[in-house]
Amino acid sequence: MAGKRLTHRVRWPRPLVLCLLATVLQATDRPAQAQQQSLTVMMTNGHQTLAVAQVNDRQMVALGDLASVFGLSVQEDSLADGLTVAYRDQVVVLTATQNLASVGGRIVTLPSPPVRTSSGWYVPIEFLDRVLGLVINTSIERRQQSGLVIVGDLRVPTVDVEYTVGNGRVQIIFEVTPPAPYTIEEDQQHLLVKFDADALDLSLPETGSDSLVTSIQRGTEPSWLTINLGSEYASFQSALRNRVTGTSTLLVSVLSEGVTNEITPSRPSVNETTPPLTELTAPAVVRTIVLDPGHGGDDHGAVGPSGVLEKQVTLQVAERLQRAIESRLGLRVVMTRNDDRMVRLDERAAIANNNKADLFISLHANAAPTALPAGAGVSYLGLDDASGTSRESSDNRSVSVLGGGLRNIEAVSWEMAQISHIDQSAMFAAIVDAQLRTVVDVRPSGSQAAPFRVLIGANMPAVLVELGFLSNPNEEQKLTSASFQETLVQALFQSIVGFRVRVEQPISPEAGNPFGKEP
Amino acid sequence: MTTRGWRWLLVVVAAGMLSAWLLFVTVPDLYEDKQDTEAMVPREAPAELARLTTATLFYVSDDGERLMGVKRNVVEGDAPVEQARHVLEAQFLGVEPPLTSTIPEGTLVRAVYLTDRGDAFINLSREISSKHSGGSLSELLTVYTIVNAVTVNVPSIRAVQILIEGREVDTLAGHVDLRRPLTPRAALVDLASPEAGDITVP
Repeated sequence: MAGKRLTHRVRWPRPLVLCLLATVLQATDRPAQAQQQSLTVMMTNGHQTLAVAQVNDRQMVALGDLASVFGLSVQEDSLADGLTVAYRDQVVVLTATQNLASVGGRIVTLPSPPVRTSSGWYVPIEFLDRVLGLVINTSIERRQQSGLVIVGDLRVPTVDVEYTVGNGRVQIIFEVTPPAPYTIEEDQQHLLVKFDADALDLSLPETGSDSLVTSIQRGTEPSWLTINLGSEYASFQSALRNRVTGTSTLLVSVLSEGVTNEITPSRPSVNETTPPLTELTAPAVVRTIVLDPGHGGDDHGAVGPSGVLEKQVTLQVAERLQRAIESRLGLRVVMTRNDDRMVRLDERAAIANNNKADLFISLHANAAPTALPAGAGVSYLGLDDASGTSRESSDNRSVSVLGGGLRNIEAVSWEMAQISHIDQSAMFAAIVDAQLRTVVDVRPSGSQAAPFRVLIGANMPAVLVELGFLSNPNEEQKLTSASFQETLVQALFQSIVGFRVRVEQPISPEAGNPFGKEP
Repeated sequence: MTTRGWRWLLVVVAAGMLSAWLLFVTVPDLYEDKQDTEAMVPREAPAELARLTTATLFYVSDDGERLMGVKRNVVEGDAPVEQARHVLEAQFLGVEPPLTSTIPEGTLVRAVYLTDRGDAFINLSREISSKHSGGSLSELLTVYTIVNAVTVNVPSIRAVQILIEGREVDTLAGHVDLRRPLTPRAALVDLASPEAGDITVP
């Protein structure tokens, strides 16, 4: 596409200096559970803290707080029992009775309507990433686990730190997602690990005071870490392992006198010739994933012989997958439904498009006229080429341009947006098929193209995953079990990780391709 | 009127009643008897009842994953629209095991239309959707039973769009896009099934 993307840099009303950021971030290390007391909003020139309140059992933020942080103006419309939220020329309309927001004519769903309390209006925390990003025309990523809200193109990798002591050495393992380049500097009492990032989404272990490493803490800059060294410290070694999973593992061994070390006996072997750091700095492409639990409400979907409903299985698996992605990849997940209700097929694709999702996964359970068929399966969109629809809808047309002359544009009808993404969808389907095959039975036909309605309008790579056959009594029982659902989630999770690797780090000719040939 | 006049009238009335009895009672009875016997002997049957032709109908394959073609005699129609209707009516009849139908019970063919491009619009009763058991494989098999049955047996029809009670629909059960005409899919047909014979999916 030749189109240019225009981005407005938002100028924040209260600029703060970066060094302040580090001090306050001390308090925002990831809590053990996902229920936050506050959110930390990180912007290109500072950060703000947003209090989170429990209103009607939902996590909500005060609209007044949002207004002051983002420079919004809020007006109440008591006649319509609603609100308008304005930012420059963008207006959001909310009503107290509906869990929808209208953003410049686009409808975005929220988990609940805004609520008026004695201290003012509150909106669900999802308002930040689903609505506000559209309003200020800047990406907003909300990390459930750490309570970070990242505004704009900030690089904030998640860093999980593990720490083991023994045999005259301390081994510290940093799992960095997505991979970020680093340098390690040594002075007399410290090792300073400097990541090339804007900040770190950090989870630090509890460290007992040791004669080699006394503590690990945030550094003086938001993207630095300090390892405080004890009296027995003699030397350190470090090595980097970049796994297929889109996470890099940095191993630092802190050694006492006389201990010479081969790094990491407890971890898989490390390549001595670590790749140059520049290869690890891929721009993040997959930021938002939409999960679409099939059916819902009056539409039960398929029903198993002992009464298991497809709509329940799909929602359970989607919720498990959502938790896995949010907590382990730190990506934003949007669900087309969070409860048992009917969502039209068009609306499902619209939710994905409105949230500018990078990947759409529709979850279903299969059924056949006989009890025999079994196994999971994955499909991507295959349109009927003979009917001429794909040619009609993706046409090269000439339009006149300013200053005279003609220019060819590729016009794709909005309701058939998927046509531009079929190659990547097929690639992702092949990855899912390969991952599913490692853990569960898969139908022999492999990933298939099919004219599935829910995929057509999705303007991003999209697949439909069949988790198994409800019409097969054996699989019906399996599909309700937590362990089988977790197995499926694990395979889907690994598929997403594999997809990120493929799209974010284009394969060079000599590099190994873990998924074989492109379909 | 004279006595002779009355007699003539009586004769005319009697003759009239006799011919009415012959015309409305005896002849139809004879005709019906003949029809029944002739139906069993197709060679002597009236043209519109006995012109049968062989068609390939589609049922669930032995592995349950695909469709298989089965040859059956169906009534031959004069025009493509009529032929498509006869094929579908035969396809929608219930079947005994070991065959399994992909069409929900009670589904009726309301009408068939054909455009100059060879797109057939098949208007079905609501049971095709309301009594469908769900599941994307089931739905694919139902849709392509209809698409394949019509396109394989009526060469002038190249694509099929399914309507329900006269209206365009999104899907039958939430998966397969029915908003435009569909062409047959060979991949869904088990061509190795015993009765598949020489069917070729265009």
